[in-house]
Amino acid sequence: MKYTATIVLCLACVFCSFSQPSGYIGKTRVASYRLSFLPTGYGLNHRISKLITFNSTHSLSFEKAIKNNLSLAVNLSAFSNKICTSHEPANIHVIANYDYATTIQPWGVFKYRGKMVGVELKSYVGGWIAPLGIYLGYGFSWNRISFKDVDKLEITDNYYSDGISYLQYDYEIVADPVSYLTGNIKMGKKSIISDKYTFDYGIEVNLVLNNQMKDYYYEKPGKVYFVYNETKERRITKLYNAFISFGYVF
Amino acid sequence: MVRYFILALLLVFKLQAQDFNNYTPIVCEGKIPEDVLKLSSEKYFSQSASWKTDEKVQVNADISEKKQSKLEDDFILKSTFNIDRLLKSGKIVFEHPMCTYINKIADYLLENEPELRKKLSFYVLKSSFVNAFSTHQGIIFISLGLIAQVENEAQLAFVIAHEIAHYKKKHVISSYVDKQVIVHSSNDIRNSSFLDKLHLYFNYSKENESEADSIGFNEIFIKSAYDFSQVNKVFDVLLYSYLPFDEIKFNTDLFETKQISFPEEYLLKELSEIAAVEDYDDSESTHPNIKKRRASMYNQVNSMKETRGEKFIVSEDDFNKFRKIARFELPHIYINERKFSRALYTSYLLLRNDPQNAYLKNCIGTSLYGLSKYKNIGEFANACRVFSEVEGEEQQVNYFFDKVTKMELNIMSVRWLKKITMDNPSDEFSKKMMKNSMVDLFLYSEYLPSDFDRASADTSESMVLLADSVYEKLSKYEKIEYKKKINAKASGKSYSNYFADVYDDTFKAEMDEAFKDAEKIKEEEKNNKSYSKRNSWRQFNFKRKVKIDKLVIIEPTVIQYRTYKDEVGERYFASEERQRDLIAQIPTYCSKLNIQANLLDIKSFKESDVKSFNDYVILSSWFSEFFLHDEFNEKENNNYICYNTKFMSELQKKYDTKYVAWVGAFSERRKREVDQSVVSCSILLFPTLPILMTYMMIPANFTYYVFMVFDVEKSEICMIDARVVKADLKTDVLRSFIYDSLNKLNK
Repeated sequence: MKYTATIVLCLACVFCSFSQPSGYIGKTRVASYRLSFLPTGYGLNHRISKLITFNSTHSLSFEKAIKNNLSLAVNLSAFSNKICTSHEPANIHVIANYDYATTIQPWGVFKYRGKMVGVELKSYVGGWIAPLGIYLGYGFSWNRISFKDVDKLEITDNYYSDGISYLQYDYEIVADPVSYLTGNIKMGKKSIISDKYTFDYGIEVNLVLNNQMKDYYYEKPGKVYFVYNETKERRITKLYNAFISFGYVF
Repeated sequence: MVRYFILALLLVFKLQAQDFNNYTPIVCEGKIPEDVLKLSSEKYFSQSASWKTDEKVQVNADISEKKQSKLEDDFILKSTFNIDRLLKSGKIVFEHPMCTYINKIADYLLENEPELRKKLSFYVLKSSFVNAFSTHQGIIFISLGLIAQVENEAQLAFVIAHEIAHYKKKHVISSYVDKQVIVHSSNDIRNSSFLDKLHLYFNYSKENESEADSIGFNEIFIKSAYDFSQVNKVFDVLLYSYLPFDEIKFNTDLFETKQISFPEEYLLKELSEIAAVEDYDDSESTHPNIKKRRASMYNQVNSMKETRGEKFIVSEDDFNKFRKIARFELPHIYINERKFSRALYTSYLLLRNDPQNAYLKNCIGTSLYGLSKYKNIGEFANACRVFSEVEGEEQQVNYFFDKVTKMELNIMSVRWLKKITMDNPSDEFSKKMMKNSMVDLFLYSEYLPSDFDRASADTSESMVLLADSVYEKLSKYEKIEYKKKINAKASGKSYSNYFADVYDDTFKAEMDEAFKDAEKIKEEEKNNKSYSKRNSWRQFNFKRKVKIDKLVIIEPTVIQYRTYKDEVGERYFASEERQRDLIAQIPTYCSKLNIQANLLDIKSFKESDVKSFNDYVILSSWFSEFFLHDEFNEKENNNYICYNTKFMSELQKKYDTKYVAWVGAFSERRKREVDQSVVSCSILLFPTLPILMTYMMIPANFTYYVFMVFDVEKSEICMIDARVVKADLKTDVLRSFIYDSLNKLNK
């Protein structure tokens, strides 16, 4: 219900024209598919697992010119990403309340899926007329991320007590869906081919506005908490994006 | 029955005869030639193909056949597109009886060379310059300035023969190849200095000129029955071509009445001598100096055993008629070129033989109007050459107008234009100029309409403004009397004398109205409402509060240019392609936006659309003139009424609109210039260096776009939509901009 209301609100904003802009030869609407990909995502995965994956997001966007140099867009996005964790210890922050050494040996695949709905104002700068040319986009996205297909995490917990080495444990991740709001700034250039098709490319920066994301945490029956600071990683992986987009102008 | 037939014949004859009293500038007639209608690219492909089968061009430079062929092709490309621009510039006249006459001379000169004759076509060029030139396509342009100055047909025939010789020897193309070889210097030339290279090029060019003189005479002119001795006189025409077509003393009587006379100091006592030098230094000229050319031709002419020849062969009457037309065209051309003093003097010269000629009086009125407008805004030098630079009798004109005051010139303009309107009450254009000049009279002075009231005028007495030297020589009593008059003048009363012969109730009402307008403008300027400085493109964009749903759009100008690496120069095909695309889209967009637009595009015309072509010419001339008077465009309330507005009323009726739009797009690709501070920052933040380097390697693209709508009735801009974007001139860019501009029209 919450999602539906947000989507309806965003669409209402977009459809509500404030004036009669020229658009591109009278065409003021663009429906497009956008692929955002993150080259830096590779680095993180690589650091953890030496696995090459791209942090890609698929979006459907609807844009409408509301003034000659302004357009309003609503974006529906989804992403599915995985981080393979195996072989090498991850850089995991450990909250250790007790005096013992811990080695975490994660393995398997983290897979998290996200849905985003956002609204965005695009300002076509440098003499361009919306929806063509160079633009700066400012917007907000409401994100919801869930975690699935999480394999088990192997944690070797070696602690000593009276010279005795204790056992290692397997833990399961407790991962609730998280929601958070991001503000995004975008810069891109849109071209129109054959008066019908659009091709768009650019870069995007996201900033997490409300930090309500939950950290992954792993609960050990022995009441020892290991906090895997996934928040930080997610922030980084979603901070910069390059994107390309194909659309239809009408 | 016979009587009616004769009457009909007379009527037809009368209609065809030129009415010099109500002279109208010459226009194109008959059918539009293929040269004008065909697309430049089409012409290029056909010419390029035929050129390859032609015999090889003789060039001075030592280059390989392959390179020469490449340079020739390059020339054909550039020349075809540029000549095409000239052909549709509105400055050429085709199918006019004057062209027919020139063609007849060419027919006669080449009656033994029919094949060569077939390749040539002749057009009259509406230019005041004494000039003729030929192109590689076989088009020969003869300027009206030349026709106005030559003394007889034989002289004109020699010039034509000279140009035919240029075409025959393919000088225009060989000259280009030589120049390119020098510019991209190879072998020995590479080591020579720039000046040496320049001299080398000029020498090649001079050789061509001498050869054209020689071939024109020995292979073409000599075979005719024209008077050989006229060849030498052609060089006199060229030598004194910078002077008007006649040298007659200028007298200010024309502007004086029994109430008005000008002080002697307004006239030069001694005029500068005509100092045309025959033996000038021609080392940096493409043509040999006149002395050399004359000497060379003199020997050739004198070597002729028989001295025979006619000054006229085709027709003396036609020559005189067309020379008169050419001379009548000159004031019109000079006004269009903002050479008002020359226009006035030329009209003055012609008026001596035809004192009541309405057209010439109009030209004088327009010139006075132009001079006064420029004097008012302090830009007089743009409208009248500095008298010290002028030679001959014309110098007196420039000196006189330099000396008369702003007020006097305004009064002269108002009075002259008023007289024209009194002679011809239906002359709305002169009335318009007069009213505008009248507003200026009050705008640039503190006088009131009552100061010019005839009730206080002493119409029986002449008011002579005395120079200081003259004043000193007066007796004590004469000085007192003169001072009284001056004081009366200072109180404004004496100015009534200036309008004594034109003052009536209508004039009084017009003065009152003009005064109100001037006061309004003064008030607005005081409030800084109307005066707008438009320094940048962004500030430049504006639209008056008028809804425009009907307009004429003149053929868009689209130019794609490159100054990047080896791509220097215009991209002719791309420019034409974009232009054609734009032309194809405009009607669609207009119908979508409910705008009735008449697009005047030459390439879309049919052979029979000569009237539309002439409309295009009038509009082009109007635009050229409008932009020439750019000084006035910055002030909204100080419009300059363009002379070509005179010819707009018919167009307004025909197209049922007073709005005309012009679209221009220019794009440039050039090497990117990066600010030093950006480089410094990038060095400091060294990981960004690869990005900066990549950025610097990519050339910068700029597109400049302008859409302007003019109210031709008021001679003012109604809308400017200008944009500069950092992108190449692509179809989507241009379409987007033009649609947006059209969309703004009816809002």
